[in-house]
Amino acid sequence: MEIEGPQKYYRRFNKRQRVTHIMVILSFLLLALTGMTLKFAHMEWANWIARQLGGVKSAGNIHRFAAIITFAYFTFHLSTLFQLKKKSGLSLKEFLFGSNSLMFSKQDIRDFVSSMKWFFGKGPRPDYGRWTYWEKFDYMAVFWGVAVIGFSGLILWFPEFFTQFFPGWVINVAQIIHSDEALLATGFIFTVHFFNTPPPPPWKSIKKIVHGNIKNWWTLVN
Amino acid sequence: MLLLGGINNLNAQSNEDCMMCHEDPDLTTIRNGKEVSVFVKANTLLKSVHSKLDCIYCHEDAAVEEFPHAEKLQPVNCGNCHDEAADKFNNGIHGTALRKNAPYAPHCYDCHGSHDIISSSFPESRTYKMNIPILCGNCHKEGAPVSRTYNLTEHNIVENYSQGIHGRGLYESGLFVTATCNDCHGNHLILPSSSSNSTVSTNKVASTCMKCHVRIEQTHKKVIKSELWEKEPGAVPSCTACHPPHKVEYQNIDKTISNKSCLKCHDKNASAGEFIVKQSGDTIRFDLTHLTGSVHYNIQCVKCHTEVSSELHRPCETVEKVDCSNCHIEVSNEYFGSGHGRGFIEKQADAPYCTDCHGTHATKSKVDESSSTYRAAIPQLCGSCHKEDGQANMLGHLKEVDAFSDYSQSTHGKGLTDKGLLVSAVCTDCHTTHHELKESDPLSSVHPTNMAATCAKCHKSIADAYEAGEHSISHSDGTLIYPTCSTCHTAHVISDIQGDKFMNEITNQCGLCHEKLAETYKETYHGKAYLLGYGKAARCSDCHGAHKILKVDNPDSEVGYKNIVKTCQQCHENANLAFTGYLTHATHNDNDILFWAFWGMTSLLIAVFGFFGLHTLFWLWKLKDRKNIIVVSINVSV
Repeated sequence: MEIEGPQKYYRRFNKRQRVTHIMVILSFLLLALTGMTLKFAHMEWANWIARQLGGVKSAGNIHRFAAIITFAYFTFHLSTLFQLKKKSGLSLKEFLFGSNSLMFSKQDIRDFVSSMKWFFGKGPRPDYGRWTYWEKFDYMAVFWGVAVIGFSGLILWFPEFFTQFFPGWVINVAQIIHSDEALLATGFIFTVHFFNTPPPPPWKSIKKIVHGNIKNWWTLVN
Repeated sequence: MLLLGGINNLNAQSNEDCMMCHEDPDLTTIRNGKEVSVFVKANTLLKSVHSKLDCIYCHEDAAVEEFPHAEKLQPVNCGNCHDEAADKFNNGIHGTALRKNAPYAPHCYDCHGSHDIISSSFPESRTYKMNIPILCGNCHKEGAPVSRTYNLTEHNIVENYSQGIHGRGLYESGLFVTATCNDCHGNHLILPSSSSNSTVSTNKVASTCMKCHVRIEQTHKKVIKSELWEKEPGAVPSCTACHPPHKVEYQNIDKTISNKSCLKCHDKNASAGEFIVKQSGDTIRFDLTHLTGSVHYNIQCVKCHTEVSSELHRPCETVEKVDCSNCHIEVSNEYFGSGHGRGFIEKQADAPYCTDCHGTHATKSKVDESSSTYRAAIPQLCGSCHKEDGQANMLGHLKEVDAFSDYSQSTHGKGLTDKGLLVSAVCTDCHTTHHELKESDPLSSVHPTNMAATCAKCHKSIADAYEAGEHSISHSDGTLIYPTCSTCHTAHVISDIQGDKFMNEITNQCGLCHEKLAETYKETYHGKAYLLGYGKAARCSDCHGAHKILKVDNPDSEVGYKNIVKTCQQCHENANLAFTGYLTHATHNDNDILFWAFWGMTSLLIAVFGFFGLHTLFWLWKLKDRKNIIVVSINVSV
């Protein structure tokens, strides 16, 4: 796409958030690659990847390394949230449910209904707030996903430790949850997030991701 | 006897009374129309065993009151005293003939003499051992009236006997212990060989010969099997079938044809390097140096090439294929029971015979390094037929097509060739040296029921562990398929268990039978890591054991409650009992929690992908229509 005319940038993520997002991307890609290799161990490609990574043991180490990054950015993100709240001077309720918040609100339901109408040609395109409801889902999915996958992952990482408190079948459950939740996350990122959140095509989004800005390209093409 | 003697004394008729008349040399009587002398030489009787007896003791009807006695006396009945010998005589062919008044039928006195009868222990006696052939030969010699009158199956009896080993023993070596006529035919109960009771009948001749040749069973190599000889007479040739009666010779072939006469033609050097060409066009490639280097260097040609005929100008004209069983009887019997031997008997082309493995004239001992049957050379030897395009596959029914190549890659094969281990198993260790049979044959050393015992020849403790486990084929009642050593380790490609190759195959091997367990194993992280080539990932044998595998619910099994913690601790050092509650072969149907966890997660996936999939498609579709694109109002957050 040729870029013409003046370009206008909107900063959506601050620096801490952008660093967090880059950590998410890096760790997620490593986790997805090594995790899917194990999940689909019976496939030829999984064998090939395992060999490229220096064997499944090494792939497991990469997976655990990326897990540490994940726990790190999760902690970092929680601290960012506290910092943001402190900076904004809002009460907890205002912070959580305000217009800039990623928490779901009644507006999202209205936006969804309007979107449906728009999709089926029964109404105009709704004017979404700062975050569309699917962007909020993206965030929430990652937030809770990290918690769920992270905890089940720890059980699988240290089964001897956790079975001091839980029965053995918890390992089986953790395996199901860890594996399926990961499949959900990976599938969602690659099929929905890549197309839905940044404007397509996805490979032109890298710069925007790094800068944290979204180019107002709709303006340009109109 | 004493009583009889007493009676005789009463009659008071003494020998002197008899001699009053019978000492006259001119005393004659008419018998059967002929004038015969009835003169009795006085001292003849004195030398006889009967010297103490009175005349009337034998000539009973001569004991009369008034002399002279009747003109015609009854013949003397020796049976009055010698009743046992007489019974036998009467049952024999001589006695039978005598009763029928058959011509030349012998009386007792024909053999033993009359008044001059002497004990057989005196050399002068007609029945003295050394005189027996002459005695019997009186009638049975060639040209004698008996052999002309009767249709006897044997001819030239005395001549043959004299030339045979027994006769020569008697006449040339003066052996008292050599066999004479009566040793084989009996003394009094002489029966024709056609009678089943005869000591020389086909059935009984062996036991007759064995009166002297007691251990012939053990030492005689040409007889097919010693026990058959005894138990089933007639099933194998009797002694006389090979050793003609009377003309029993030790080895007339040995005597008549020496190696020298064979080498006249067959020595390559002697015939200026030219091979002998048979009528069929085949050449006989005989090299004397082969024989001199062979284990048979001191064996005469004719010992193997037995069908030579000394009467022929070329004695070997009648020679057939060499029969090694002449000497190697036990091994040959094994061979004829083997797949190779059966093929040979059925005249299958390419069925290997003794010489195909052992060579012909150059046969060497298996301990000779240059031998084709030297231990280290065995795989090469068997492999020359049992390879992919080898003769063994020509018939197309062998389970193992490329045994040689497979074996060479195996831990046994590499042990032999790479490490030079002579103790490494070679073909014959598992398949036996001469009794090779297909796996499907219950007699085969590699039949499933015999497999463990065969491997146990080297791997004893492992075979014992296998027998103690649930997999042991001894538990089989025929309804289930039980694994044997080769099921997991294969027949020939047997890999080193330390190597990755074997361990990478093990789950497939267990999975051959335990299909579902193999599948669920692959769903676990153990299985997944293993699938991705992680050598240390727990595999079937790591938890269940390798050979002594017991059922999961058996407390003594590796995964039974007695051992499970220890088993897990092999890798998970801090494992406790709760840890072992992990369901290693879990499916989501194993319990409710797993069921709901699985379907909960699956529903979540379907819902999310369904919803957002459609949503994204609509979104992208709408964005294509650029008119719809409106600037998004975004509040910049710094």
